[in-house]
Amino acid sequence: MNVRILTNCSCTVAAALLLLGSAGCAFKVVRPPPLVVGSAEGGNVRVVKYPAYILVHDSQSNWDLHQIKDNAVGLTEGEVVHWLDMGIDGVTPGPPGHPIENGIEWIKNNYAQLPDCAPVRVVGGLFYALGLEKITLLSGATKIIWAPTDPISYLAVLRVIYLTDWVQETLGEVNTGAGHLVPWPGPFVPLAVTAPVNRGVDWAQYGSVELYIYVVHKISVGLDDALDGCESAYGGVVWCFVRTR
Amino acid sequence: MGVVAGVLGFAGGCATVERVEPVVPGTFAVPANQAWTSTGIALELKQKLLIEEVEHPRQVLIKGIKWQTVTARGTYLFDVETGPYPLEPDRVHGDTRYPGYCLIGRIGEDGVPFFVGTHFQGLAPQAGTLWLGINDPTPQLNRGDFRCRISTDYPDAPEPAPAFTEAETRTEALDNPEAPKPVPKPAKPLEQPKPVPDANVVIIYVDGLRPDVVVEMAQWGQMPNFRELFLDNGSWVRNSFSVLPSLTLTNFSSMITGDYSNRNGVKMQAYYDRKANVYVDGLSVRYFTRFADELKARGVKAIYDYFPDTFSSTAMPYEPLRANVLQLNLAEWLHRAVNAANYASNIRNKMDEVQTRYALDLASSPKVKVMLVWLPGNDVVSEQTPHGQFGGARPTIARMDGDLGQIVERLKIRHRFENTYFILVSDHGHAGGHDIVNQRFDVKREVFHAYLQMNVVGAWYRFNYPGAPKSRLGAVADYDGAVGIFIPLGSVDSGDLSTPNTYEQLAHYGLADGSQVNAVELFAEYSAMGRWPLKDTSKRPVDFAVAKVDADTVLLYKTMDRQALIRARLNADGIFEFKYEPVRHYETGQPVEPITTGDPLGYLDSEAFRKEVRNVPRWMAGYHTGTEWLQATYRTEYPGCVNSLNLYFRWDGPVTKDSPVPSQPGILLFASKGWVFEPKINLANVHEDTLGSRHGMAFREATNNCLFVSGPGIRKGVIIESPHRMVDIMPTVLQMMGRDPNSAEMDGRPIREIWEGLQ
Repeated sequence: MNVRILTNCSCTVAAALLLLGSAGCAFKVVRPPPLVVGSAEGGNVRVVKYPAYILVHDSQSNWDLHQIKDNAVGLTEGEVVHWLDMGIDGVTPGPPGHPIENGIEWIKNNYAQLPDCAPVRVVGGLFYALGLEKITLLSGATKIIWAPTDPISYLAVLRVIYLTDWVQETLGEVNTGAGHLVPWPGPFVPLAVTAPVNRGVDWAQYGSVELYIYVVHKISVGLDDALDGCESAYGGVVWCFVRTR
Repeated sequence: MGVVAGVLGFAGGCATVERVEPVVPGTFAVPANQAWTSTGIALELKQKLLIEEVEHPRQVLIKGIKWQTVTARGTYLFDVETGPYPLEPDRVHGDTRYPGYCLIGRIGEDGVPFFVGTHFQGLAPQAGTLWLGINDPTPQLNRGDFRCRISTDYPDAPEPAPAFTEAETRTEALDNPEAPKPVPKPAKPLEQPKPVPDANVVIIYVDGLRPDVVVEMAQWGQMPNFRELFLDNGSWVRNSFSVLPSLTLTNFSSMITGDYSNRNGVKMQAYYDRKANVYVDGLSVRYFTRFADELKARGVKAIYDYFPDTFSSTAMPYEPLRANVLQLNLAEWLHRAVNAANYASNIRNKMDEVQTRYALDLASSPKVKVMLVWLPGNDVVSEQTPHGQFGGARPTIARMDGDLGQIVERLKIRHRFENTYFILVSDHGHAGGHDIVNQRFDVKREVFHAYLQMNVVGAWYRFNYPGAPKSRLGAVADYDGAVGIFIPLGSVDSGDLSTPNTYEQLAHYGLADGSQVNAVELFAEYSAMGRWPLKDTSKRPVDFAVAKVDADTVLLYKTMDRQALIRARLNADGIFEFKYEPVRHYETGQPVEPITTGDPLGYLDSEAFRKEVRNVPRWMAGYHTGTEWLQATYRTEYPGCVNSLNLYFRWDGPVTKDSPVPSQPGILLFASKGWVFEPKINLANVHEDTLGSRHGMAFREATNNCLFVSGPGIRKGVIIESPHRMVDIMPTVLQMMGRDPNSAEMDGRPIREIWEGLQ
């Protein structure tokens, strides 16, 4: 008797916890109408009755667990520039103008008008690799809190890879330039030597980016699976109550 | 020409107009703060009427706000109303065909409003006084006026010359045994296009855009960038068609590989993985690399393989897990996406904006030579508004024009425009919205449950049949206007989903009680209420079903009396040829009963088909290549279906020990006009979308896709009538980039007619 009471209590507590834990999740009870199977000629043959379905997932709701997860992760991608632009646009009448972002784009476009030569490419490549305008609010905050004097603390995995690419290209420019100083044709260090090295570095860079995307995607899918499980459990609990009605 | 000149006064009943500048004589000023203004011009019934907007330095300010300016063409780009517009009072807000705040007209005080915009030319629908107004339910706060000139006469357009196509010439010669044999011309090498060196190719892939809609909007002045780039300075391949089914992933695959699904293996956008017993929804983020992985495993080359170091793209319907151009990869896309959309779960709502923002990065990089920009917004919105692209999707299309303008502008700034080829393509058309609002047909309930008593798994959740054993499972790839049916081999309880059934097995399909039914007949001809009336097939949800008869033959099944076999064979050159054989009551192993009218694709009764092939019986008796079939049928309601349907049920791709064989449904159903295969009850999601226009079907409206081309050496302001297909895009891209398109041995052929001097 006591065991039964204990079991019932545990179930009730578990159900309540699940309900509380999923407080943000709305649910919808769907009762599919009975299916009347018949024929136009012969009249009704039979009626199929369906149980109620509990729907929890709502792809359009910002309170859906998947959306909360995506938005939480997305916060880490929010650029400082973007948030500043949002603030400016918020107090400026008219449609959003993204003044800072457009200003940066203007600078980039004008820089691109400079003659195509090695110094221009090297400097442009460095800024491209650094992606200073892409500094995120969270990484910026981390820098200030944890390492205010460390200039590279905001660099994420991808930035490191891009910088290796920039170093590679800069060395290539130097090698090509130095080629003018030596009697043999072509770059200072012959292509036969640099090509395999470049191929190897390229392979490593591309591979790293792919691995990064692969891991991020797998983590995301794993989290989604876990959230599906939560939704399913929550739906199950709700169903226990609905079924008795 | 009877120009009504110098009329400045307004007929009685008009309010005083605030005039800020003098009105040029012969011009009407239509105040924007009044719903209607009488012109005082009396029109007879069917009298000619021409209304043209006159250049005017001051635009109308809607609600007096300076960034809400319009001309007589109106706009889709902002909408500050909540109620219906006067031009379409029966449409719900946000689902209107015509732009808001445009110039409108009516004849008589109670006349039905009609669209004027910047230019109206037509006959008066009734007699009475002409009134002009603004398509604004609350115009009181507007400032300014529209200026227009009105004529009651205009010159008639010259009669168009009768069409006479190359195919007619060819078939006429073939059909006349007495005709003199054509003198063989001395063979000379075909002149090849000469693309500019160091070319770029930009593919703007607007999901589901209807060519008739985008051209209409351009004519109304709503698509200035599109008009300048493609209509005025480019070529329109008007008869371009998708492969079947006209779904996004099948056509995207054909676009980027240049092959039909028999060689790239992408059959549906969702499928039941027969080997792994898993339902795969290709449009889910979870599976975004799945189809690309399968292509790779099958050894099929796609656009990113042809340009390994210079191709880059925005997010695509599916994509490989690779960084084609370093620093422009998916991680960077996601970063841009979050910032363009403000927060992650808003990305899906602002997908076009997100893609365009990233496309600007691509356009800025000299490393990117071939770029693909997918703009899916139109398809998504079309599917969720009752009138689709004849309604609520139009603002999205108008914004797409702005996106196009930004990309072009960036290429100009970066001095890349002059050597860039632009291709604007959609993967399919869209059915519904214009004259029909679609309705749902729930194949799970209506057939699976009603007759097969099976549980079903699909894109919209697993839907169990009450009381059926768990193992009795079928699957449907239920998307839009085409649905793939996966049922166990031989009978509902065999539990063997590893192989698709042939028509013979489907025609004697075992039920749980041991009886047998023709499963194809059930899916094609039945709802839960029994067989649809045979006489009026236009009201039935299923247009026709297709099933495989043997390795080379498929059966099209509309009704027992309206069927056709499509047979394939390889000719001496190794090219597939197809024979279309209309029959009735087909039964495997039995002699066929030919029919001479009422075939499933309607070719036998099509005037357009007869005109193209001249001698129908002779044409039907022979085998013809896919290109010949497309040429013969491109003016019919079912363009180029014959080869596409047969190839769908084949797998001729590169097969190695490890290459995955595509999961093929046993039955492929196509929806009729006005119908969509979708559950009436969504068991996957709390949110229930409104049903809009859709695609996937086999008929023209769903398969006629956009194909516009522009760039150096491309003909300007030309409409190309010769038919083409989705598979022709990839070889054309190769040609633009100076590669030999024939070396890739694709199914498609480069589009020659777009090049100057090659007609």
